[in-house]
Amino acid sequence: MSVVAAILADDSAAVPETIEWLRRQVYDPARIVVVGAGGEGRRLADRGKVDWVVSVPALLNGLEPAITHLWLLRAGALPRPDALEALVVESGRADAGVAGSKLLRPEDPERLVSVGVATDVFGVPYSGLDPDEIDSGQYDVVRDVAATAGASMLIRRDLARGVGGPDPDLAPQAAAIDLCQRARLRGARVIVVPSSEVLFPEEATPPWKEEAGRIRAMLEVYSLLTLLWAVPLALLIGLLEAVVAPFLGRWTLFSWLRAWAWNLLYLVATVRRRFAARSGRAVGDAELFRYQLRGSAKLKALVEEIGDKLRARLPGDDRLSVMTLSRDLRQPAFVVGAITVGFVVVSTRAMWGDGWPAVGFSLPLPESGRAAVGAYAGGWNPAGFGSTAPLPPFIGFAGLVQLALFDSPAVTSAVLTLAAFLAGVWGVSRLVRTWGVEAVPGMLAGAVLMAGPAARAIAADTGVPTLLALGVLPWALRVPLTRWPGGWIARLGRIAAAGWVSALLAVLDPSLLVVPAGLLLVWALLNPKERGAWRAVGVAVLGAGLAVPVLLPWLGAADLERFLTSGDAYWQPGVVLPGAIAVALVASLISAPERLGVLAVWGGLTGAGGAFLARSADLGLGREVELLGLALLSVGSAVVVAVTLEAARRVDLVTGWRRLVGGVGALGALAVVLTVTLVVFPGRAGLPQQSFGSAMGFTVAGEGNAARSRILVVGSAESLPGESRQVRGADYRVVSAPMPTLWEAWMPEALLGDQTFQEVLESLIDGETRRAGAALAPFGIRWIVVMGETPLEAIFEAQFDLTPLEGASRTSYLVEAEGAVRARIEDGQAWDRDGTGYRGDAETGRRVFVGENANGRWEPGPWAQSGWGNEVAADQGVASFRPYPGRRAQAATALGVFALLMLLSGWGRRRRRHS
Amino acid sequence: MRRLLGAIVIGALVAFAVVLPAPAPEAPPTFTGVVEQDVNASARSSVWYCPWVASGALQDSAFLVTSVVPVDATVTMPSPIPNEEPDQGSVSLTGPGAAVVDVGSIVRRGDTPGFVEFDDGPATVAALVDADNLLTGDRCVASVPKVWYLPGGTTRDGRSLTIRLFNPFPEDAKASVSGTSEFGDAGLGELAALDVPGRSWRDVNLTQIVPLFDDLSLTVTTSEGLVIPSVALSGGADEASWPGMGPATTWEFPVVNAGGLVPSLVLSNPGPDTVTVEVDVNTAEGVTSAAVVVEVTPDVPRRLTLEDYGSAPFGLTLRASGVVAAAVVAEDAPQLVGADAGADSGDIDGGEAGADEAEPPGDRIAGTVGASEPARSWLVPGPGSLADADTSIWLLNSGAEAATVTLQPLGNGALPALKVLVDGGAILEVAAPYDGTVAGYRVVSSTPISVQWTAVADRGVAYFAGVAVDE
Repeated sequence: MSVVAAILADDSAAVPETIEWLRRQVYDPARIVVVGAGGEGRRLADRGKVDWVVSVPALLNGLEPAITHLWLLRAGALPRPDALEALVVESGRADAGVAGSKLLRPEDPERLVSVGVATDVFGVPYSGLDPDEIDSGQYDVVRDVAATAGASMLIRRDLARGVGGPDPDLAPQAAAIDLCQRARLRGARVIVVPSSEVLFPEEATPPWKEEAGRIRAMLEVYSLLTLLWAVPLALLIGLLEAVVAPFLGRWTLFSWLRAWAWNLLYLVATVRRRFAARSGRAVGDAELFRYQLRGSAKLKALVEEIGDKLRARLPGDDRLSVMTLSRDLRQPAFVVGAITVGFVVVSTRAMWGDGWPAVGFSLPLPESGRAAVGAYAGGWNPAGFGSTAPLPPFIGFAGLVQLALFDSPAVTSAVLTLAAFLAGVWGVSRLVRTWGVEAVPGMLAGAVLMAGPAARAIAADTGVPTLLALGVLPWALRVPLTRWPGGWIARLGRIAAAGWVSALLAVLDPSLLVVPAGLLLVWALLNPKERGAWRAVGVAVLGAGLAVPVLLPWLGAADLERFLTSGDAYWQPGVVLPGAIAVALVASLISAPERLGVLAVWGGLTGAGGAFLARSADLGLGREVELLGLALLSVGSAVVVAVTLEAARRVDLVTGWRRLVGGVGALGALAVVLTVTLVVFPGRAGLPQQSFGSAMGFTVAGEGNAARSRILVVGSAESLPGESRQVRGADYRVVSAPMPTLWEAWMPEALLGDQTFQEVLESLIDGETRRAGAALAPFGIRWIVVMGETPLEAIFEAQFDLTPLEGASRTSYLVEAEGAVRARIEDGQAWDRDGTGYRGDAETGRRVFVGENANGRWEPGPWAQSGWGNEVAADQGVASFRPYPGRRAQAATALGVFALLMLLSGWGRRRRRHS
Repeated sequence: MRRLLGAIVIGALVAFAVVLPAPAPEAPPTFTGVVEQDVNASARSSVWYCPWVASGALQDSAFLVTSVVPVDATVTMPSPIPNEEPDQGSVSLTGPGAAVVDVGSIVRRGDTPGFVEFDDGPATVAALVDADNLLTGDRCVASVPKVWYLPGGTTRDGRSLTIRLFNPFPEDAKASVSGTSEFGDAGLGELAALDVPGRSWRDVNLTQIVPLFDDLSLTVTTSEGLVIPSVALSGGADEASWPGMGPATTWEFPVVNAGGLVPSLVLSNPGPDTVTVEVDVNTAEGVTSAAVVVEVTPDVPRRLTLEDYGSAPFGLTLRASGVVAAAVVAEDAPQLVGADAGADSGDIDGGEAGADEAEPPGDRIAGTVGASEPARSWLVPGPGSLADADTSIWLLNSGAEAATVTLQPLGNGALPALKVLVDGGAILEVAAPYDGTVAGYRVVSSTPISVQWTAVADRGVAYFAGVAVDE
């Protein structure tokens, strides 16, 4: 064989050393050529007294007929003297088209860099090597591989001509994989020759370039049939990684976007290369799959990384080596942790398919996350007959999450709940570890936080945002309490972390914003001499302050007094469980060692304060305050349980009669812990069983698009979706068909449409008409559903144009009158709902009535008020609310502040790690 | 110390939390159902139900509509065929005004119970059924309670009693019909749960179920939905029909024997205790107070066969110690007048006992419900609209002082009113001759009176209760 050694001069500085090592080869190359690098490359070639060509294709065109092989080397590759010989011998023996070398670290030649590369179907490489793995000859077998490293590659000349050499547009690793795949497509064998050793450092190429190269490689070699599934999957996997990576301290979103954008930009060139690659193919995709891994290497790496991170963070455990699995399993923390994860998964299983049960204030998320974000950010509030009242921040937050989760409301609900439960359990265990409480009591306390009596009370009241906020609350307490770092960047990062965690807490439930600072103040008052405690207060206060902008635009537009006083704060517990908590508290106050005793006091004060707030209706406080109180009670009882169980463990410190008292307390605590099983069996995270689905689901089966109309729901206030209005003491709600969604749960002040509707109901009560259908239809009401006992039912049973519906699970009526739709053109043709707006056939010169409270921001113009509603032009086929630019800007600012806080927090964390 | 202080504060917080009172319960709804329209006409939109209407090959019917203010009225008659659209007609009145809506001009298919919707008020409706040998009708009802009383029926030989349950609403109704007779409970077990489909009606011939009862007073109770009942009593030719009512402690019947019929007053006691009823007889000359005093027990209706008080027409005023339902049924039956004439303590002997005489046989029947209280303003749909019957308006002044009464004819165009004086305790007949432009009257009095009108012809007699107007 006659070989030309071609040095690819992408790193021109390294060329001379490579030339020097090439000259030491025992198997002399016929020629040494420097390829590329322009004038600098030519100069280096001249200095090294070797040839220079501008590119690999140029080299191939100029090869002498006697040359049989081309040895491609990256500049900086340092082949051992027998490297080429080994390649030549083995490739000849195996009749391989491409043979690659084993790469070793130049600075430590005992350490392996690459011994051939396996890939998955998406071209993601998998070396199979452990980090810093020592070369003990364990891989020294010539074998077929998916690809070899591009640093040293012997390729048959005719094959090289056929595939045209490596793609100069790709990053090195991707180029090597691409070349090998194109070679295999032509029927060539690709082998690794471990006896051919080349020293070459591990490369740090921008990840987006490698990703872009892999995508292009896929597009070039696979058949269209394979591409049909492989490309979307690659897209999704990359997106998933982009979502998960931030939690692992990485940020891959922009790389992912850039890689796909690059491929779009160079699509034409890729298609040309594809033709060239596939025109000479000798085998199908199956041959390419032969040496590929099953599944996704990226996903596998992600899962491993998550596992490593979790294992590193499991409280009470040292960093465990993954190698001793049986020892892991015997660790009590691991066992309890596994049980806890299982508990969380089973307790929320009912939501995986359907999301939150539709009952009370627990309603499905809107169909469109984008619409939810838009409505929050200065858009139209669709509750009742609509208004400009701000939606709770939770709507905007959930909408953003939903956008990232394939815009699926059910998936979003399930993920949020699962994440909250896991975060809550984990958070409490990390929080109490601050004071020396071990893993098992900590996790049990975490279960009490999320599924104990107080949490169940929150869930029973369908306070979904507060329930999710419980998962963040322990972290909001923990962050300020952690050891104060050195360095101003790390400290800034800590404050930023307190800020974004507080912001997340407040976005979920604004009434909890001041809770971390308040509780930590109480802790500081109990430990006045501890500087750390006071510093934690300061950090928490700063964090709360930084979180305030994240509550915009809600904070600027909401009626805070109404927020705090709407409804009645009156929690009515049983006797047994509060008694059990009290027993645990008293026992821990009496018997717990010093530090734990103070912690018990703190927990008791938190819980007692929460209980007081939860029953403060007489002080004029409302439902949100009750939920706040229950959240405090939940935290307090979790802390008390943690202390009691930890004290029971401290047999060395708690002796004599105190141990007996502690034992009784532990029994009380365990009784509380056992009650979390009440959440497990239904699998709804403690939320009640759905009722609206069965009551209103029939509307989907009606003629036409149910979403064009509304439903009038009557019954007792507790049986209605979210908040309700009253007419002469009877409760009612107007909601969207076929199912109300979460953004309708909170009712704004009554506007003209609401008042007009109330008058209509009063006229029906007064018997002024027996044609309720004709009276209700202009409001878009097509159905009436009776959820519970109400005198309004007697009103509807004596109407000429309300047909009772047989077979519905609740007493229900169908409005017979024409025009029972929310938006319609003059001739009655209905428009469909589109987010908070409407869409229909464009009709030039005609007008569409939009059945929402009159507001001049409905467009397109010219706008006119039509009774209680709006009339806009039907020219464009859409009717929408023009959002308030100020509120939109505030929402963008809020998001920006949140992102900035997260970035600062991550930056500070990195600096802390590296210092 | 921290623990002790903390425990104290915790205890205080918990104690406060425990003693905090529950929020005051929310005020319950201020209504239990539709605010039922009163039996009277009032100044608002209203719906009037007319169960006994029929227009076919042999019969004609009309809705007699009257209003004080300009109104649009829609007449709706459900189709007997399920799911078929109802038959509808409409009329506009420039109030005060009246009109006759001929059912036959809308639909002719026999029984056509219907309802009339007014977009304003006061307005009211009466229903008239007319044939070659038939004249019947009465006021329609606006109030739709769950319990109705229909006294006055009989299933004796020669008489056929039918009850109609009219359900104009879409929702199916479930009603039960019970009755009391001279023997106590009438044993209507098979009528305990009658289904009346939505937008339809159901007729039950009681004579086939419980024949040969001299007295049969009915009670209709709806457990689901709503029905409007009406009874019709026929003797083979003419028939009398009257609507259901609620009970009251006072009743006034301006005339009970118009057309030379022999009246019976039938009282039914829906309460648990025996009720004492005093009956005044009001004639054109004055009143005989407490002419009859009777006891009415809960389980047995009381029929007072009323002989003529002279030959002159007379009316009745009732006062009861408890609520009673009352109806007058007048028949054209042969009576032997004399010593052998059966008389009980309730009979009013208004005439001289004389030699045996047989009245010529006749078969005209009329029936009506009274007014539960007098009023100053009345709407009287119908007088003056019948070309082939003598129509009269009857005024009863049960008070002590004389009443100056203005009778304004209503119809097309402005017509001159008539003023009359009605002495205290007396009745007065005001003829309402046929006038093609007149379809009703508005009656306004200086003191509360009660009003009724009658139509008398050879083929039949009909008594129509007036409708008071809320002030």
